[in-house]
Amino acid sequence: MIKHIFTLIWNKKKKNFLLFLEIFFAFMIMFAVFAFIISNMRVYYSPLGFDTENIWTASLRIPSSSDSTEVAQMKTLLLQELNTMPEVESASFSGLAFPFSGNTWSTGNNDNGFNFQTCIFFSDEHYAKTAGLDIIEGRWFTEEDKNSKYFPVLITKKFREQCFAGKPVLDSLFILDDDGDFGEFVKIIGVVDHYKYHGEFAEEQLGTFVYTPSTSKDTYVAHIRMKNGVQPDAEEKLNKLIASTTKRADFSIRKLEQRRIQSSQSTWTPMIALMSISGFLIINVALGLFGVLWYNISKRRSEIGLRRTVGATRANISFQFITEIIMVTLIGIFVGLFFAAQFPIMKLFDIENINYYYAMLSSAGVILLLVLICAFYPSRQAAMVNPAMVLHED
Amino acid sequence: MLKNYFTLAIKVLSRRKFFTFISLFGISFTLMILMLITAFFQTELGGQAPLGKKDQLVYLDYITTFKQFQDTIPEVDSTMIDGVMRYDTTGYRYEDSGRSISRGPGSIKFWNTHMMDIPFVKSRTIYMSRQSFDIFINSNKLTFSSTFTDGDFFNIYNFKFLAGAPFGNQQLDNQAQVVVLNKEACKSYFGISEGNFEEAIGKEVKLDRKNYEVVGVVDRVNNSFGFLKSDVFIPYTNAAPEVLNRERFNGSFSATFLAESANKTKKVKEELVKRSKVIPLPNPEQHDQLEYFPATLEERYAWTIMGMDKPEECYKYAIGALVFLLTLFFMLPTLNLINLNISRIMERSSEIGVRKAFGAHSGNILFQFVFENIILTFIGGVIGFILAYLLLNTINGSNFLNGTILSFNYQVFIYSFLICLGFGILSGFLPAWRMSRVHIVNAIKNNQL
Repeated sequence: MIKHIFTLIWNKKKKNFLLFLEIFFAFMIMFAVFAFIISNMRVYYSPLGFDTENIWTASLRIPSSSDSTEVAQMKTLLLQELNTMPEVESASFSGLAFPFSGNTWSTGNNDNGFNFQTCIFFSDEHYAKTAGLDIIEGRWFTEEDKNSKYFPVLITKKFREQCFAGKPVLDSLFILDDDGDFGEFVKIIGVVDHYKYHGEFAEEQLGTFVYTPSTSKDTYVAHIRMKNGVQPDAEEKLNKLIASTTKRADFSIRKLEQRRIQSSQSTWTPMIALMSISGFLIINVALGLFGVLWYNISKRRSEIGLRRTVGATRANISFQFITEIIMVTLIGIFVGLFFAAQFPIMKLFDIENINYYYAMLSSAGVILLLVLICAFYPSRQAAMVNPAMVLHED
Repeated sequence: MLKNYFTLAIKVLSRRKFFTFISLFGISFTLMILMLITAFFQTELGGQAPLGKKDQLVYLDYITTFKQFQDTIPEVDSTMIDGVMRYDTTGYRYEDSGRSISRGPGSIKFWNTHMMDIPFVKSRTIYMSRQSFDIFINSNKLTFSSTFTDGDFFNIYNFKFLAGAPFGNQQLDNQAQVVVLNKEACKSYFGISEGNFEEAIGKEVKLDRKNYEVVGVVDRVNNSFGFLKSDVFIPYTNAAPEVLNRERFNGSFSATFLAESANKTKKVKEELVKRSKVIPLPNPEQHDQLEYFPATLEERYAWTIMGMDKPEECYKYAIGALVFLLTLFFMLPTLNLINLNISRIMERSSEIGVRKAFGAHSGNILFQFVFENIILTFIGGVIGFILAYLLLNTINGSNFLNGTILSFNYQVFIYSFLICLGFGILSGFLPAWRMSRVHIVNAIKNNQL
């Protein structure tokens, strides 16, 4: 039976070749689009690790030449003022690398017997509470950590799993930076669940929170958690408060929630554009397939008539046509799979392999389904043919 | 004769409406998307104001200062002397072990002491565009993005001034508190309606606790270049003292060079790279080498998308990727149309047979069918153009592209026309060619419909 079908396909190879090419290209396009979307969506659905609702930030400009004591006094005062404001729930300071800022400070080495590259976040003692971080082991920084012999740090769960899997990490020491920026060793005092700070569509990197007191010159981004349902004039009040305390007005209050939406938009836009384009392509291909199949099958009415006369049932006829087209589709998909398999093998892009496999499965599935739907109606029509009429026509 | 073909084509199209619908659907959507892509690139890189001199521009956004660390590895030679192994150090090998890098925009000092007199450069501007100001008017918040720049900025970028004039280098040197406003900012700050922007000239804007006098109002910028889309343009001498007095090379300013003519941009890039080798660094113990990659407008655009180090490479990759994706995208509707056309053309084998019998050449038949297909494509093209126009307005209205406003101009129209023609010929040729070669006898005999 299958052999027969292949003979039939081979006999019409010119026509089938174009059909095969179309399926092949459709598969490749679908594969690329699916790989892009699946890899993005998988990152999107992994937890962010911090809150964005009601959190406002202000990047204060503190010249590196300013006097440390003055800065410390100013920042202590600012924290006090902020905490007395009735709309404010809590306030803290962080370094330049904070959620959606686009800034990175990264370091890595292999002095500990394992290789790592981690992002560094300078955070003060109030940051975990303000940002809503989830601490799964140990504790967050406190004021007493100022006097600690080693730099106290918290690492993210991903860091822990990658470099300290199965070992206890609390109070253990490791070399964070061989330049000695953080002393010889740093001490892990806790583990943070997640911190996907580059945005919802950016793969979480290894992270290390390094304690930097709120009075330090290095933490100059103020994070302020507002209470629920603050009045719109709160922002102006906050702006005036910061301006009068810092004696500068060259800062802008930005809402983390808005930044989250903005930072995701740059991924949503190409994704939606791609999805609409490929959606249109699919409809286009489906309509085209439907037209071609319908036409081709109606051309073979005499063949159907003959088969019906010698005893083929209607189901046999439908089955024959559907199998024929499915075979052509499968050949197209297999050739496509061969090319698609090069992506995970050659590691062309920085995407996890599993995304490619999902993309292969889903694009093959969609195309098969599409072809089945398009082939169903024409082959039903073909099976309905009355043999006497057709043979008479010829 | 063309008129005959035309009438025939219309007749054939109305004969089988379902197939005509399928073909037109595919054609119009494909062309719509291609027209949108054309409109997008026209807006971004087509040289609309203020990028009127786009072919002469050379960009230097980032500079990198670094120090290369090297591990010293002694090479050891061993010899056996009196049964005792002896080791001698014969030399040293150096291996790159790490780099200390600082990468970012440059400081005013860097640009003004080392990057002034580049050969083949007509003029140069530097600008800082990273600050924004919160302004509260009647407890409404306005956030103004700013560009701190010099007078040459407005010579290199031909902004369309709706009122007033740009500030010049004289005002820059005098640290004049003047400002050029964007149209939208002017509307929201002063509540001025469209067309009355002259009223704003001479009024004051309060930014960062200083009052700035408005000297000009510019039209909105449709592309996505952040430093051109700023709400306010301020002479850079008004920036904070730590920005102005920075001694190090890394700072907050990027630069655009205007080459003497479009074909000199390559020379300018070479001269810039040459310059990077001779500039002495102020802190050699930390960083002792300077590196940067000048880029043309297109290269810079590719670089902002791809994010790799070298803009020229980014551009090559981006063009490659674009051509690859467009071919792939174009291939599918074309194949689809070819498939459909091959099926449909069979219907007309008797017609072809008769025409051939009366003396038509294969070439005539080929021409007729390709012509018919071009007509079909152009009908699809018109529908596509209307659809593209509607979609364009929807995209602009919904702010889907985050502030980039697409528009159609005559160039988009010309490109669309060419796209239609190409598509029509491409998808009509193969079926027509096949059909035109059919033998007369077979063509007439196969008449089944």
